[in-house]
Amino acid sequence: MIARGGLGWLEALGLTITVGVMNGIGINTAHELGHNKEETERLLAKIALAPVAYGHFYVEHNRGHHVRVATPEDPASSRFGESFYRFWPRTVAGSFRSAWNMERTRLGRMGLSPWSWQNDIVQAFVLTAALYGGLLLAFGPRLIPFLVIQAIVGFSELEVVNYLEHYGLLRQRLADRRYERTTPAHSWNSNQLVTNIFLYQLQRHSDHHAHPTRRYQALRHFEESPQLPSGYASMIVLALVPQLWRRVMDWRVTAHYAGDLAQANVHQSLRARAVS
Amino acid sequence: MARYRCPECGLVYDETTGHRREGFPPGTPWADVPDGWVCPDCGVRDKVDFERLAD
Repeated sequence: MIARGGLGWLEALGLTITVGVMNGIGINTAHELGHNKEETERLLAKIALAPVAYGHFYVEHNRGHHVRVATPEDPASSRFGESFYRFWPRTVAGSFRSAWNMERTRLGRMGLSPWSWQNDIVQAFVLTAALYGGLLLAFGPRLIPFLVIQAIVGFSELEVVNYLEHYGLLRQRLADRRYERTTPAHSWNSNQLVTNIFLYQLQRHSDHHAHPTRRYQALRHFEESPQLPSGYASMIVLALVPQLWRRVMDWRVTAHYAGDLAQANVHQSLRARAVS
Repeated sequence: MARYRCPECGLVYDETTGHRREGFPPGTPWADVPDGWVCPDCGVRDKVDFERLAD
């Protein structure tokens, strides 16, 4: 429709955002597939990530985010007092850097260059380049703004969901300096019917992080984990308005830690105040 | 040759076969797997958490 012309810029923008949102939901499907142990499902995960040019998510999520979730070292765990707009550049850049370093380490052990075809990130971006190249050949360069905007919308949708899933939560250090194991207390949970159906029970997130290879149908709801006050759709809108988000969420983080913010994952701009 | 199992997801590291994708060729002893290595399937348990299986 965009290539044929005939749409006003506002209509074209609307269509672009709609496609971005749809592809963003595709990331969620990729997320479920990427956790499975079967090779076919993992390949499907890479294909589902190609339209939004976010193939490194497949590496970073399983091997980075799940390992470091709810610690200051995880780019995809938001901190108490950190707005979505501060979180966005930190997670977008940090997740890519982390994924690349992990693949470099893995391939280095095999004696291969990080630019090897066996690098999952290289494979994913070649898929994206092939898809975009084909579309541009077929429909011409007027598709470029459409592709760029829908990709940004799509992966920002993923990142806003990341933002609300672990806001302010922190795993404590054990005596041996390792972080305690990830438990249901380290993810915000939401058990709303609509979100459950749309997102393959992604928001039964506490169980997912404690047991990542458990398939979505089997995820349980835990009353004892911190609960979001609403479903994902309304929480996403709140996240886009930082003042509202903080009014709704900050006291919930404080309450979860019984008033002791020294136990929370606090953004550096607030740390001195929160701990004193 | 010993085998070690991830207590979370059941992934087994077998010294005989190693783990090609992770860059450990067949015959790589468990001692040569770095301490910071994390289970590649679930990502929630580290090398030190793995349990040695009976031979």
